[in-house]
Amino acid sequence: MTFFERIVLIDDNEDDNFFHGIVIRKAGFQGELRVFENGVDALAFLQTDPLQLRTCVFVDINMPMLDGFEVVAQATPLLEGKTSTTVVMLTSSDAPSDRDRARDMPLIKAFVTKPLKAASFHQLVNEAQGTAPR
Amino acid sequence: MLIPPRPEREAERLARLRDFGVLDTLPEQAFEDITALASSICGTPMALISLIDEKRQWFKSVKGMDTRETDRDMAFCAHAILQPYDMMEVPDAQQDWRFKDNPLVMGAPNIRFYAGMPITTPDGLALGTVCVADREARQLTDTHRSALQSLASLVLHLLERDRQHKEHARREAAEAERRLEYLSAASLTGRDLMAFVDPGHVYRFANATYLDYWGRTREDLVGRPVAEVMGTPQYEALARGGLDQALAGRQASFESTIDFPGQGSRHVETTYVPARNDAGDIIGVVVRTHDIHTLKLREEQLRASVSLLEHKTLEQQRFIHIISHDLREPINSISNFSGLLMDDHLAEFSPATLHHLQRVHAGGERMKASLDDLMRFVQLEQHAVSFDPVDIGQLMQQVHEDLSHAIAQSGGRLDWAALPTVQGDRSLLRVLLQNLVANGLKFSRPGVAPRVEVNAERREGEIRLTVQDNGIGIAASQLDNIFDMFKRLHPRKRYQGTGLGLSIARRIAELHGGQVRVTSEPEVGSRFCLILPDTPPSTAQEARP
Repeated sequence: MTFFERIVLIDDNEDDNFFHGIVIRKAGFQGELRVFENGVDALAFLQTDPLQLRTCVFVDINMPMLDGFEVVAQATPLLEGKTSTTVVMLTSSDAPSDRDRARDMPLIKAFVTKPLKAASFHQLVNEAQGTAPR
Repeated sequence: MLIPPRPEREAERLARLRDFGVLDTLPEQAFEDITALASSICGTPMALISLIDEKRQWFKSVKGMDTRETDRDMAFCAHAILQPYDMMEVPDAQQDWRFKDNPLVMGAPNIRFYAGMPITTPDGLALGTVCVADREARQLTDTHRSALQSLASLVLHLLERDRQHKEHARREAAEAERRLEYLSAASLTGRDLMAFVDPGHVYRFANATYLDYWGRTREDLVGRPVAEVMGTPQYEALARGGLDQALAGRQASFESTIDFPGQGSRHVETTYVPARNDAGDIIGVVVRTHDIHTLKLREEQLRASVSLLEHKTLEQQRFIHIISHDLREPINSISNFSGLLMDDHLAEFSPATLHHLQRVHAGGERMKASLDDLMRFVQLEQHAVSFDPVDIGQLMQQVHEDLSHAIAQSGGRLDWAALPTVQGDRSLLRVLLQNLVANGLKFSRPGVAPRVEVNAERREGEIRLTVQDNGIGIAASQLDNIFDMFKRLHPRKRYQGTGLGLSIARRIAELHGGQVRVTSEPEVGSRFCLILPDTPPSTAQEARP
């Protein structure tokens, strides 16, 4: 059992999405898993979603059409103040400039370098649980 | 008649006399006044200022006689100068054996009385005399003698003053001539264009270069208006304002492109300098034009090269970035899924299959490490180094934690002494030290637990951090290569690594204005030395006022 009821993966790399899905399942997650291969589709989904489920959104940075930062910027009006949703950058970039940029966006709660491991997923869960309203 | 003997120091006396430059000069009023005074004081019809030349006596001033010189042998004065400080008196020449058969006594001017006071320089050279003479035998009073002494001294004073004036004038003239020579040489043959323009904007002088550029002869330029030579449009646009400003007393200077009939279009820098006379009035403008055409061309070429280089560098960095990203994805897939297979499906594999799978996984991990190092190296070039105080001891604590796995695995140890605080970039220095220490742990001798020791010493203007290991060491022939990118000295099977660690370490040292050096003894150990300047380069500059 994990705190999150839903995981959203936004990444243009099919292999990574598949692998991260396995890692998350192995880490004990049993809820709904949604995968988007570009930011446009992901944003369209978030716009229509009632945003009731406790959700963790993993966003890659390097993507065609919209990059991860643009996705987060466009999602900010939707997700601002919604404690049910946690946004995490999950990227192969460890460039300091990307880290700095992520730090400056309040919506982004964490910056994780690929591949996602069970341990770092558990840590994210614990943090979200700690800050969640009772 | 006694021929007057030559005095001692005669050559010196003659040289001094000539040095005064008085011989054969025209009569001068001051000296005429002196002989008039001598004659009237002593009441004699004749008074002279006589100078004794090599073979004659020459009279600077003569009263009562109508000759300018006589033969030296018959000169009374040639006797008088033998006693430079005493007056010579001949009361009656007809009674004096030295003079009674002298032609000047026997015939005109029939001298009977003579008194001469030597004109003597301070160092005792008698040049001649101030003397009086009469056709009657007679005596002088002490008043007369004293007057003659004063007049002789006055003559010397006048001669000396004249000599100094002439000397001064000669030196001035020589100096002026030399200055004129320099000036004309400088302005005529200089590579700059030089001209003098009068207040009516008319050329009064131009040097050879000026004429050459404008394709004119001197006769064809001097005396003509600037507007005519430059052409009215160029004159209005480029020269008129500068000339007027200089004529108003303010120097003007600007760059322009001028079309020269003799040279074509040239980029030049022209300065208009107000020219003033001694009274400070502006009498015209000195125009100095410096041809900077070639310089400008080179500057433009250089700028083009720099921008091309910057563009190439940017392109290259983008290229590396994209490649690394595109490579990372498939590498991650290899590592991720081979790892997954080994974790979850171990039981299903035969030993051979597992062995192959392990090789695939290890290859993926290695490729990932290479890419990470490569990216770090490229990022170093874009990284702005920040200089803050960094406690190296504290940094070593972190390095120890970073490498705790490697230390435990190798069974080795990492020790450090008291370490200083340096000025530097914390995260870069951490990478640097980590690379050096990891290097020491890695290249251990078989069967010998690695031991790495970090020490520091402060020397004149620099801090040296040494990382000493007890490993396999490096052969002297290889010491030069170890900092090269991707240089590996050992088969991967024995020592893992990308071959970038030391390149990164050296680059970081360079970014700090320092360097990394190495000394080593095979089968004993290596000693890496990081040398950092006590004051880092950029902050040293900022600290200056």
